[in-house]
Amino acid sequence: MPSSSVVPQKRASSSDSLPEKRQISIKQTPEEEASAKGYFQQHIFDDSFKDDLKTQIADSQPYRWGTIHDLIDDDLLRNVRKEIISEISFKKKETDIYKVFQSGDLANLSGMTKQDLERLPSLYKLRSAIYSQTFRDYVSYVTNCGKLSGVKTDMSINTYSKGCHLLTHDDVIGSRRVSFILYMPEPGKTWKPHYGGSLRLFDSVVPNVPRSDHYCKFTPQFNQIAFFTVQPGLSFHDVEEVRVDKQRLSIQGWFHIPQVGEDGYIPGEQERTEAKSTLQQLETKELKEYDFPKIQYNEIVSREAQELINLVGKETDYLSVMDVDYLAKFMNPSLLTPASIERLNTIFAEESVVDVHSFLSDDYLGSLKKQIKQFELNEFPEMPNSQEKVLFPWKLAVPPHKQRYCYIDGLQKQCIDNAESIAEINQLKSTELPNFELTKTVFELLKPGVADELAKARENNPSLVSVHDISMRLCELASFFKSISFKKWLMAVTGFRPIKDQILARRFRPGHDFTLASKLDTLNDDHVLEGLLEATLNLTPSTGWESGEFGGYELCMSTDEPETTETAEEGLNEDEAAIYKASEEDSVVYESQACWNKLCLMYRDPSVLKFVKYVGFNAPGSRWDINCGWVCADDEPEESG
Amino acid sequence: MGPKRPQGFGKKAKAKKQKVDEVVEEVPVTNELTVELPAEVDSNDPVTQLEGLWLTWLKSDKDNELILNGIVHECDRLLRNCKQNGGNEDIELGASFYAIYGLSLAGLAQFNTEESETGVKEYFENAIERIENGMDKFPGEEGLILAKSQIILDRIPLEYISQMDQDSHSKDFPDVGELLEEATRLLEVGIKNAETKENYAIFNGSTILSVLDSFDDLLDIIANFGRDYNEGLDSDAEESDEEDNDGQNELSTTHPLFKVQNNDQYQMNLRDTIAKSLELARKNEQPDESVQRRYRKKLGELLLLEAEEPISIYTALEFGSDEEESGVGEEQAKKSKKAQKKAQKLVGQAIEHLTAAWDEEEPQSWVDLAEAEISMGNLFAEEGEQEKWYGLAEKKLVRANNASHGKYEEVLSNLRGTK
Repeated sequence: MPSSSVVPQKRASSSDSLPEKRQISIKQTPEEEASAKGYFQQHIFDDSFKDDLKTQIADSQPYRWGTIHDLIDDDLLRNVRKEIISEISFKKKETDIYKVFQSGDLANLSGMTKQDLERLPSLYKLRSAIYSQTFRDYVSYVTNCGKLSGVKTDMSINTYSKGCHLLTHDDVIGSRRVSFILYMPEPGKTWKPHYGGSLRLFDSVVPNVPRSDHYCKFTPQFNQIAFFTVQPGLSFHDVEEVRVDKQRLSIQGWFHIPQVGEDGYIPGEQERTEAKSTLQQLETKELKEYDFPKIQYNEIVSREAQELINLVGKETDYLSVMDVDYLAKFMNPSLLTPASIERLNTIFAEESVVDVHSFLSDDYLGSLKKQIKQFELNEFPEMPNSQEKVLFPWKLAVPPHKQRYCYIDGLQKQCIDNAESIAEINQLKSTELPNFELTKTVFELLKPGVADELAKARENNPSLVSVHDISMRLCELASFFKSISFKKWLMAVTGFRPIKDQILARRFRPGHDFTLASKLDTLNDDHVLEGLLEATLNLTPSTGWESGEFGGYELCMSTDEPETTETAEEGLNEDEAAIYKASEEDSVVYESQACWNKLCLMYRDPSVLKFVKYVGFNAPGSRWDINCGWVCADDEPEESG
Repeated sequence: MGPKRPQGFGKKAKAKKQKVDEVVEEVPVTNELTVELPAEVDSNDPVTQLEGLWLTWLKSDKDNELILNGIVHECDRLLRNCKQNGGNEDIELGASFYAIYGLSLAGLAQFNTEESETGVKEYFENAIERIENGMDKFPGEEGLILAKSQIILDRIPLEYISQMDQDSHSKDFPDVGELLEEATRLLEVGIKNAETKENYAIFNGSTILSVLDSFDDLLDIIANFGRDYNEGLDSDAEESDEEDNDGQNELSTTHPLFKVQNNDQYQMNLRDTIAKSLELARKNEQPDESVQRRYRKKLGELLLLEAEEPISIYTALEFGSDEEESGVGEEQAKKSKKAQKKAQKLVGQAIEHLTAAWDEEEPQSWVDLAEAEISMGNLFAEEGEQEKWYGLAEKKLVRANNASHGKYEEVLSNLRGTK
């Protein structure tokens, strides 16, 4: 069957993700309550089992969590699985933070209708078992989390097939107290760790800042439940991408804080929890200190700035002969003619974005494409798969509830793996200016250091290559983007005068990297434009990205209002209740698959969210790019057209 | 005045998907096809353009219905406007035109499976009608004969097998065996005609490969019919912890696929056809290496498939825990030796082909070869020989594992555990 192109959907509630708003409060009948205990395997109710579990949870790391094998009566859960497979249709949902198949016609099991009950009797039993007084008290006891609501239920069915994933988040929304996931992969078979789909828990550097590498990983089996207390700023977890062609079916949900009228209800408790939610914490200034790379636009040196000021309002003559000569060493010469500059400007002025294909000249590129491809196939040492393996001058973008990717920023080495050293960076050390020429030299100097090891490894695989050569080329390109000549070309094409810049060479590794949708910080400066001029030079040498199946694409969504809007929490599934909540008017305004030698130039105003989709484990390679941002002067009032 | 400035696209009209690709001279644009034209032809000729478009489709991921629709519309237009049909365009419609017309119509069927069975049926019937029109005008033309063969091979799974389940009865479906016979007969005739005319070019590109892919896919679908696809097969050969799931694949004798599923002849036929195509492809002045690799890969895979039976006989007799089987009588030993020899020969040939299919930029081709080497290692009881093969495989898997950042970790540790 043909695969359709992935047009990712916005990450938030939308009318189609929530078919209809349903009443989610339920009340168990006494009969249901009485039979609920029988739906569980009885060994879990042994006092010693319970107490052991309670101790395990109290001692667990990185935060309080627990698991029970063989929770539900085996026949009942097998029937639940059969009902789900035969009765429920799944629909793929994809946003910046997840790709998952959700039960399309039954978004939240709390909203089961009478007809649903008839076709899904086992599922109904399961729901009543999970939310029974017996089990709620059980969970409350072993986790020591306090009372749990019996009227507010919140469960949904998801299946993760090959390529599906859910990136790092802490589940903190509204009145959630305990998160749980009941796993139902194929019964009678062992779900192996290399299938992926594990639940991974993250420790935090400080509250609200998860570490980039997971602390532990839990590989689920049929009829096993995992649960943890939802702790604002601490309970960070993700679902590792499923790597093979298997279905990891699960029911997941939350126990909520007791509601008005219920035993254990405490007025104001819910509001206090909400105030601590990640949503509200995500963008606070203090926490941004833990973001690396820092969004930091550096002033263009005054001599160059003055040169650009002198060009304002000039018709042409932006580029001197020397400029053109310099640019022609890098760029496709056809982009340097007055006619094509004018043409690019016309498109850019009209659309605010322009894709320039074959941006770099063939002469400049030489064998770079092959070189990067060969490097990916024969990387030495192996592709870094943890923070400590990313070696300077490469760095790792953190924290993982916002981003993860490798980058070169041309700045000094920084230790970012603990709160103290980060505080030192933020409060004591001055940040020097990026210098890609120097960074290139650093790579050059480091190269002989690995030569011996490389030579030894080549005895087994003569094709092995180290990262140094291509890194030097990337630095060279970053320097080119920082050149005054390029800024003049940029000014001619965009009509904007750059006054500050930030350039990064980036690599998004398969099975690891992404950026989540983020909007720009508004700059409170009357002399600069509120939007940002951005460029991404795509340098991904591998092919096979076009369908979007492996992610790695860059996408922009426009929001009506820059402010996040409050979305009704009720009825949201974990996946829907993502960290960002955008308004209903979101729409995709730009999408670009990973590719080779294409420059995307855009002027992004603050209402536009942008992200690079998580690159799947089975992707044909890494996504490589040079990412640039320029703060521009507000030289003239904006034109209306 | 300086250059014009934009407003920022968040402020522009909403929901308007950007169409912003800029062309720099000599540079192709996204969303626009780069149409490959056969060498030394007039690129203004509409039939040549059609051929270029078709070639582009063949080389693409074949997932864009719009391209196919475009091709069909262009065929409709050419047919209407050509002078032969009273139009005013001076177009000569050759055999390739009818082949493209038929194949593109058949190709559209796969995008219309959800409408109704009739939709698919209509597409295929129209496709065959176009081909037969061409055949009337150009009798013996290999391109048309091969096209008809491919349409039949694509039609069987899409129109018929897709409607079958485990309980289907042969009386409700056309005779799949007969259809397969017809398709293979046409394939044979087409190849023979091309050989006679020394038309080796069709073996050096996508034309034959595309028919062979359809043939291969069909045999695969038939062999795996009834198997549970919910749980995938690609990670490892996992054994069920429970004793069930066996016998899922056994069809009743009245099932429309029963006969073809139990007939090895088609696999042999496919293998021979690929071998022949490879031989003829080599007669081109400049044989395309990637095409050669694809033939070789297919041959390797088919040989490994064929080796499965003697491998399982050998393994059962040599290592079987079953008392009956492990009682090593003289007869058993003989049988085992024979199976071992046969399997070694087939796997050896497969290794030869897969070595030729090696692609320095395609780790999967390294893994394919490594797997064959592991199979070979398994066919030796002597440690030395076995170690040698496992060693060769391990080296390739280590490299592939590095290239794919850990994808073969499990396979590697299994292999190391075996050693």
